[in-house]
Amino acid sequence: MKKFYLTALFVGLITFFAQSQEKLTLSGYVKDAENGETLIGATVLIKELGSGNITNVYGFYSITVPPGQYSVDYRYVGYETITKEINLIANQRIDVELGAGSQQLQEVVVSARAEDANVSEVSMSTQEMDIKTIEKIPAFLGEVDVIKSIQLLPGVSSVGEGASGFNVRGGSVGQNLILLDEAPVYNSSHLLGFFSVFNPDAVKDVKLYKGGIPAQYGGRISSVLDVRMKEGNSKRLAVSGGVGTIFSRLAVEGPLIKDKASFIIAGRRSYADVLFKPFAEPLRDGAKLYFYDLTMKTNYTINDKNRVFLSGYLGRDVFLFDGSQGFSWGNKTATLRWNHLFNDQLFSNLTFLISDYDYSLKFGEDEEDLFEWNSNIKSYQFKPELSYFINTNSELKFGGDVIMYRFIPAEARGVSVGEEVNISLDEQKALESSIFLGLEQKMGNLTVQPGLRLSNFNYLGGPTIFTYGDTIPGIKKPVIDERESEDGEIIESYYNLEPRLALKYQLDPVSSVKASYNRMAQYLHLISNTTASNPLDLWMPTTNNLKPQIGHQIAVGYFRNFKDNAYEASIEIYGKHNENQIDYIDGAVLFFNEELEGELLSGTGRAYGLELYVKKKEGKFTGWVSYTLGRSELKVDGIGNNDWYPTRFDQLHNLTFAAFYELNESWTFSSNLSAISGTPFTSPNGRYEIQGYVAPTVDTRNAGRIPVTHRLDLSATWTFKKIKPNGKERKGEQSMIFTAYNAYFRKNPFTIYFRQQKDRPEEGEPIQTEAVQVSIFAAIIPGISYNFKF
Amino acid sequence: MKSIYIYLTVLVLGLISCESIVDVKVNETDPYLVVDAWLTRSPEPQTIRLTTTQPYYDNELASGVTGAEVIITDSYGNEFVFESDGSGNYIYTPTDTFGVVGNSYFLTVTYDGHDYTSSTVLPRGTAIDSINFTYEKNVFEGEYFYSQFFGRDPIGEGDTYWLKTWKNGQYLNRPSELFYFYDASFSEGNGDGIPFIFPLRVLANPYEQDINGNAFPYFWPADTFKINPDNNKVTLFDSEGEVKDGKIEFTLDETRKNPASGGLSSIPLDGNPYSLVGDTMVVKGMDSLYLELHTVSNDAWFFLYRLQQETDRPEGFGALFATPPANLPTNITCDDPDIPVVGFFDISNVSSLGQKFTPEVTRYDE
Repeated sequence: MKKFYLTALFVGLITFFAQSQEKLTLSGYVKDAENGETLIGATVLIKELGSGNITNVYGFYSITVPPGQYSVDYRYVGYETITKEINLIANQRIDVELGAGSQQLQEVVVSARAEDANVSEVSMSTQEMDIKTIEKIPAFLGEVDVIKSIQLLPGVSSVGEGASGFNVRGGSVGQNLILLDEAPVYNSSHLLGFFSVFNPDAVKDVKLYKGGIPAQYGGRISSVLDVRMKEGNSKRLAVSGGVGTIFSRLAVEGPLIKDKASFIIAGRRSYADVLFKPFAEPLRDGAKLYFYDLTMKTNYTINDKNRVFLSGYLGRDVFLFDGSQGFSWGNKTATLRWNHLFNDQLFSNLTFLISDYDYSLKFGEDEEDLFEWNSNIKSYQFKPELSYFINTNSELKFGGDVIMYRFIPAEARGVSVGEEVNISLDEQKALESSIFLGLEQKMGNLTVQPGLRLSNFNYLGGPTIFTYGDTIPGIKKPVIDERESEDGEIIESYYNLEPRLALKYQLDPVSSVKASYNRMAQYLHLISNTTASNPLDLWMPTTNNLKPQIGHQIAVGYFRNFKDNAYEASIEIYGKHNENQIDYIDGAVLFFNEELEGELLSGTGRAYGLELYVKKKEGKFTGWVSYTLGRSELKVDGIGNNDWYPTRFDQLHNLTFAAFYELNESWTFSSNLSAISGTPFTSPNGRYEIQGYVAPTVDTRNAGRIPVTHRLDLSATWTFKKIKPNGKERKGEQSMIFTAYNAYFRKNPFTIYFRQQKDRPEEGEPIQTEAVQVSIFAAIIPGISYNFKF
Repeated sequence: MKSIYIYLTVLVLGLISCESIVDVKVNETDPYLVVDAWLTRSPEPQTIRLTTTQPYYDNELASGVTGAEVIITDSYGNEFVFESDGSGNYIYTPTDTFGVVGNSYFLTVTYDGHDYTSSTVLPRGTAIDSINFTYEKNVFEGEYFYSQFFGRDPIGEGDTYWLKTWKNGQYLNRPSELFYFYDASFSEGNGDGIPFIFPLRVLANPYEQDINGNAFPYFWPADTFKINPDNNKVTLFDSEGEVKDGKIEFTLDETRKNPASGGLSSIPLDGNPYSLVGDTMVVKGMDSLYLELHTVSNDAWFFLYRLQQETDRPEGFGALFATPPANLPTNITCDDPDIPVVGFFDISNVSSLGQKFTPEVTRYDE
């Protein structure tokens, strides 16, 4: 708390200092004229000074300059620039609505940023994707997907086709902070990872921070995926949706009170189970296989200085073998935000949110013999954030964050011949809090963005507390002491200072060099020792036995734009060092194990690499080339000879071409082609007979490499003509998207594993052992979807 | 848990994932000693087998190690000398039941100038009370009978089991048929002193495949088939079939589009326990089940759990959820820590029960 007062004092001083200079502030919101959505990252440029600012995530800008007569440009890629002549003699509030450009540009928006943001902004190692681009990428089964799309960007990969989640710069799936309107999403997958939980109809903007992570973010060491939802059309009622191969979507948005309040509600549901019901007897007998999600948001502008937003997400996957047995999982989030302007220069946002992820399993047809298991993680978060726009050269961000966690690893019971046993595990609680301060300061050609975050994590009492003894690394640690703890007692407390620094030096108007450093602390751990993560993976808090993960990253890059920003290019090099990385003893039991901490191993991680990115943003033909050269390794006491070994998702080369071609008003074609070096597998170096089975003796972990993966995906979008054949104008927009995933029938290897023959061994005959290569998608996967917007 | 992924594989992705046997080069190491020492508390001859490790693709029987000295001593100083039979097997024939509950046993194998040692404690045993055969009809497998065995884990945590199963005299020895459990449940701390939970009771149900790869029902009672000698028609449950070309062909049930024969449209007659002699179907006998419940040490239980993890790897789409391969544990140590050794030493307390599929033990719960 003391630190908070210090921060407040510091801010007060700066305010005093800034105001003593007799400057005036121009501020306001920049919105889309067509639907009233605020525009994130629009440029507001004062031509006379050659400087300005960009709008924040709520579309707000504030510029403080000496009084005078200015002509101010409001710019946003794909929109017509508006120039306002402003005689600034007092603080002025100017809200601007930008109209879509008449040129073809709108359809080829690749980045929702200022045209030269690649070079001019201090941030590096970030990738933004506008929903229009995401919609064009050829998608699996024709279903547009946020997470599959970002995997085409440099530094982002997955463990293989069909795997859920994503890996950023050699980090694991559980090291990404995924935010949906600021609420952490604990499992971002539907259908075991084939689709992500974000409904593209409700998504406005997606930003991925791979490095140089600003001080306002914390809690995961690898990346932040910040997904922002649309606010809802404030001009008119609009309906959009689509009918696809796997699911159908419908979104309704519109004004509630003119210019004051709007809403959006968007839903999706898969319907394979409905379509196949007549053909599949299990489905008629109560078996279920579907998922759905509902995304909602509403906002209300109270007055010039206050605006509130309420957003929510509810999604669930359901899989039942019959009426009562099976499993299901899903996320629920709710976010309440209040934007408040203390004055024209001080913008604040206050967020309250709840995020909940749970799964449940049930087996057993009657009450005599059954098994039920529910697991859940809940977090309650309070997050004040303030931005102080000091002048055109300085901006200060500060705030804090308090998160209360509740973990229920297992609330479970089993019944055997009518006798019941409770096999639940203790509930765990933890409190995470942090304060941060970040400054962006321009000094001529140099921009510096220093930041500092102080985080604290308290593992709270309630459950039984175990103390483990030392043993040979690699085998289960013995419990040497256990005690009951008081509810609310602080069992263990950790503090971490997380410095951040980003630098940009503008070499000339079209090129810059940037560098960044960040130290991050992660207090929640995704416990998963399978190749790909799955919905049953548990999140576990840092405890008295499990230390927080610490990540360091350094990155440097060169950024250059060509041909009046039509092309942008970058090259970045990064290096990462991670402490307290989790691995598992051989045969670790991750579920229903109250002594799970005794089966976790701790190690060091490192990752380094080079990323190249060239993007063509304008014209009929657009797209990008992305290349990553990378390494990701772990060194864990108790695994192998305690030497470095590659992670399961380590890929040396990852090359992706994404190309979009607009033939005419009706047809757009897109393709992406990727070639990725093989990920590792572990092979045996011998075998032996024991009790009639053949066991392998196992070589160094992940020493083998599967063959190269390459794949071409194609899609074609046919937009219905504006004028119908009968000469009348068509209402709204309608289009058909045809996709072919894995267009040339490549059987990409996912892994190679080794096994004993599947047939029953014959007495006295030798048992065969063999290597098996698995392909998850062994065929072309076509998809078709129809989309509309009215 | 595994069954969930199997169902998902079949329902969601069975059609698009694929597997192929590939030729992958693997490293080789010099062979070293394998000690396969799983003894039981019984009056029967006790065998310890010594072999060496082989190259992974060396699909031959491992050759036995001869010339070793194999001795077990117990906490009372008794000595049991195992004699070599010249093929790698070392045998001790007890005069009475081998082993006393609660005693510690120490194994010493002297080979090539080194002592390889291990120890274990003989645990208490648990009896199998009964076996029955239960009728089941569901949409995935159709109609069939499955076996259930009943028993109760004694009070006190830490009874760990290896269930060995035989159907019609055939030892069920596929990696997927390696059954092990902890108290009355799958793993530690999930059910002590209660009847074995349902999923354990139904472990002994081998899912066979006929020559066409069709699933074959678990168990058949002797009186399932009703043959009408006048027209060669066969009645199975509520469906009618006909003996034709060495198979019983069934008529599909129109309303359910599913044959009532356990998911098969035909059953080969040379499968157990029926055969066709001339035009007459001969019932060879009813199916039978024989079970041995071995109470093993906790470490041996963990070894079996790991053995199955390494030999029965998740297939197809299931590969997404595979754990990394790793060496199995061993409780054998060499006096020179630089010399590798693998294998396991355990003495189990065994109880057994056999049951024929007779009307007395047949249940129709529905």
